[in-house]
Amino acid sequence: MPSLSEQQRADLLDELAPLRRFCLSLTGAAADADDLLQVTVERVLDKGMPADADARKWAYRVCKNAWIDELRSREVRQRYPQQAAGDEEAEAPSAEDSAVGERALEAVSRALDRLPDEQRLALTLVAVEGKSYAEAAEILEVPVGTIMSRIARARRHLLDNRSLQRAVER
Amino acid sequence: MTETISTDDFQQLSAYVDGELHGVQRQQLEARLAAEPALAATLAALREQQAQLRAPFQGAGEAVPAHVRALLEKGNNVVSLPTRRGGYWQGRPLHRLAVAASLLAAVGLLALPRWQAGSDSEALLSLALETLPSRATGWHELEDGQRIRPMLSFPHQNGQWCREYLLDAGDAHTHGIACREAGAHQWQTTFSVAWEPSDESNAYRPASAHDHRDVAAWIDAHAADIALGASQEAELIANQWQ
Repeated sequence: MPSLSEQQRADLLDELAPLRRFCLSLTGAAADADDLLQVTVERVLDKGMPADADARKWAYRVCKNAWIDELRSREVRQRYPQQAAGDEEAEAPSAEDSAVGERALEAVSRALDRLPDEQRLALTLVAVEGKSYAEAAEILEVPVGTIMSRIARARRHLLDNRSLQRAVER
Repeated sequence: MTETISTDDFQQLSAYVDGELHGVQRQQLEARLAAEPALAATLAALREQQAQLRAPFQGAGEAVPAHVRALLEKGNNVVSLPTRRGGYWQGRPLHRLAVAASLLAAVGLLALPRWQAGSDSEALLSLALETLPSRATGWHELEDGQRIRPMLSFPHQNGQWCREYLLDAGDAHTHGIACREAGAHQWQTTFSVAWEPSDESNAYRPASAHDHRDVAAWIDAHAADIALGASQEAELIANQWQ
């Protein structure tokens, strides 16, 4: 696959800010978002993209795949019995570590964590990133109608469980 | 609260919030919204939800790290910092992990650790990898005082079994991959990098925090499949990796 054209490189640079926000909405923590962003950019640079690809959409797709890879790798790691205790420890933030803004971020992320991955991705791309349904469909490689129904299911889940409200009020 | 709203109506409301409902459908929905309080209440709830979803991410894009930006800038000659592979999920305390990443970058690739020079230590490590299950935290102490933590087992493309591990030799800390010579019961380290405990008070934090991009890249490049689950691994250990 060819390396990036100058235009693709420039487009990707322009897209870094929203892409980092996307990373943050997937990982829920700033340092993790930075890592995911870095992995995404490295993968794009390493593997290139087709000459006619839109770098802005391509990068989101690479980012989504990197995140899914990490989720799978986490699943594997969690199968080890010793992991469970360690994980809970790591996931419980101390009061000092969390500023108010970080707590809100963690709370919303916890609500999003309960959604199926494909619903979370569709909802995040559209509701947080402001992508159109057509753009989200292209990034996630599914039909527009699928995007529409995944987003609706995600929203209904969040409303019915009041997970977002509880998360924000806490 | 949305139980009275049909799936179709909810989907229309959701698309409406996103500005994705057009033409006749939009007009029809707007007419119904004026006449049906339950529909209007759900729309209001969806809009509130939208605001709640967006709020924590305002301004998140302003903090693109300079070293990531530099990767893309024209004519750059930047060596990227290692990320904490597998560490997305153990991101606290974040500031300390960030320090760990920069330390790893500073330490970089080191010379082979002493046990690779051929010694009893090497045999002890090999035995440990042959017989111990992977673990996410904690250490197994070898007879010579070194401590090991096998982390993952996976198949190499060449048919060998390989294991990712951390080794704490007191003065040297290694994050490596060892692969098993078929039939020889010998584990040979094929790739390793140094890692550095981040501080004295918390010298042995979870393995993933030390995880290193180069190790991750090596696994990505050589693994034939994803890592083994605990039961598969236990079975292999019991059968001497046959």
